Amino acid sequence: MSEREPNDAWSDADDDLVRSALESLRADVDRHGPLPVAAIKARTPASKRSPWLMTGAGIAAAGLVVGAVALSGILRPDRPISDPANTSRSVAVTQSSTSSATSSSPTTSDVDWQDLLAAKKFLIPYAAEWTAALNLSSPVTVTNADDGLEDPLCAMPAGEGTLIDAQTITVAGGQAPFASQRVWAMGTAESANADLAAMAAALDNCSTPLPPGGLTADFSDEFTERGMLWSFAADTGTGWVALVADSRHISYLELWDAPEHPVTKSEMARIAWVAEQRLRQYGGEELEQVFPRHLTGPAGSMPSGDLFLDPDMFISPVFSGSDLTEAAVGEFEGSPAITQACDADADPSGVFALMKIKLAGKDASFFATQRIRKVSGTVDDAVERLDQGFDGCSVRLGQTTTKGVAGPEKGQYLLTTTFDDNSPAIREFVVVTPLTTPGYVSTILAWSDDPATDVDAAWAELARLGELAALR
Amino acid sequence: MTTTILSARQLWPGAPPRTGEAAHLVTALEFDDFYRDTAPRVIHLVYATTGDLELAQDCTQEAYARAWQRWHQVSRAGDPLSWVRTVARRLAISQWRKDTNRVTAHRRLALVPEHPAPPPGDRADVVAALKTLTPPQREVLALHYLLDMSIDQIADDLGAPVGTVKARLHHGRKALAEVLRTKDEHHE
Repeated sequence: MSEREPNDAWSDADDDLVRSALESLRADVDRHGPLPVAAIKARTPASKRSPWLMTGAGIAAAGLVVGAVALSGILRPDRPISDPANTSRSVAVTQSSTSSATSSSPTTSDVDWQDLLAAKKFLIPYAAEWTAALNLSSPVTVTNADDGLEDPLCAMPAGEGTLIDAQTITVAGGQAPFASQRVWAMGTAESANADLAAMAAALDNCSTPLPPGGLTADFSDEFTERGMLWSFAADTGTGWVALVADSRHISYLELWDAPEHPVTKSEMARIAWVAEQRLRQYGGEELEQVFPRHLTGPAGSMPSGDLFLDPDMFISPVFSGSDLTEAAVGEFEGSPAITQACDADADPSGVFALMKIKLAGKDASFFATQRIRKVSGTVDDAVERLDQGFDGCSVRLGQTTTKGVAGPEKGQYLLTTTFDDNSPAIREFVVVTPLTTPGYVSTILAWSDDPATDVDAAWAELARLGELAALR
Repeated sequence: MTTTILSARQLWPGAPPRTGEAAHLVTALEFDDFYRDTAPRVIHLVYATTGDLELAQDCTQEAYARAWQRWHQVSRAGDPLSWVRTVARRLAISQWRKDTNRVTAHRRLALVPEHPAPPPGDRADVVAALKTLTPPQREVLALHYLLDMSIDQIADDLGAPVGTVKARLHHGRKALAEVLRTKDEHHE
């Protein structure tokens, strides 16, 4: 392959000369060969050898730089909430703090990051961390942004993620936030990786609505080996964007520079590192607080809640209308059966529990149930018994008739209940899945009485839920 | 040889649900294959980018060690080879710059030999010729000739304007070819 300009004197012979010269170096590589893979796995990455020491060194250096320029405040272009393209060029200026305020504010060189991280169980950096990371001379205020948070600079796909925290950061005296941060909980760690890649690609290829020149991908492994940073230059100012992730969570940080004293890459990398540490330390715990699993079952005989899906995993267009979902608090009603007819698991003894799912904050909005049962025999036998119960069942109960048929994939079933008075039929979609944890079986049921329900979408959603359940 | 990262389901079609231990084993095997299949190519790329084999080996090892630390994420983030290649290249360029500054300072004090031990034979000429280029030129040449990447692809990969990449490629290869030809003439 050769890239040539018109009238380029470059010839195929020239191309061959350069190519063969570069390829000849392979002989040196092969002569030594790569290290055995075991040595690679045993090697501790340099960035992890002494993170606190490394951080301290970086902080000290950055502190000198910031001190030298005497950062006196943060300016942040005044972007409109709804239409960044029509942004006014006016800026909100924060006056510099007094010298006494400067001397009493923390400097990055003497910050104990371990203490800061341990002080508060937040998913994203809090005020003291922003102040210290950027070595600001003025305090900042971090405000929850439940409403009115501006969209990120570039439209990003959040996949199946749920925005679970969002905040803005405003420097003392500032008329508008100079930064924002938000965190999404994704479906699984695997899907979070795909979502992260998609978000990064969206930032790489940003074209709308700001900045006109797009984002410039940057990289810093000063604090974290992933180091996903982007810088931007809009007609209203410059700044930084960062993505960090851990397990199921992705955090996005966006920061606008002070015009006279732009935030350095080192500083942006540091606040991104703090954000990543927060996800690592508090992600799982915080998520459980936001979406607790409420289980019902026989007292003292319930399986671990970790075997259940996270309640927010039930968010879907087809069953929840993409609304937030949560586990409902309820009393155990004495039976493990998750539907009135055709469910072969009706034995109230043994180890099992149910988690009922409803729309968040709305009563009487149940639409799904997950049951986890520790089987007494083999998992295959338990699955077979459930299959015999659901597939082909026909049950008459009162004024209703329920019929079951197998779905498009193994372990899927559709139970259709019709009413003698011609009320709309209820369709219950079921998926039975053995868990990765030996000896447990998950049965998930989601129902709809909307005749317009997209059946194909429902089966796809059941397949997704079944795959997630199988990972437990 | 191309490396395809298969999901656990693809590796174990129709198998019963696996325990965490088995899943870990699959992950480890994926990484082992990935490393064996791709590491020499990455070393080669970094070697051509820096002209320093030892540095290329060290940075490549570091990049794979980082990948292993978060293999679960890297392997499913799209293109793990691209991830490792980029990390290795950036580590190398960063280290090369630091070392160059250090060696330059030491040379002023006559603390180190003028030249490290050269590679054997003609490859010494190639390395010497490469070192007449700027690091960005070497990087573009390596990506273009060893990975067969187009100018547009390189621009995407480096986050650099297409025109810049084009200029580096044209100037770099012209300079390299001239130096190589000169050395050939001297040998003859």
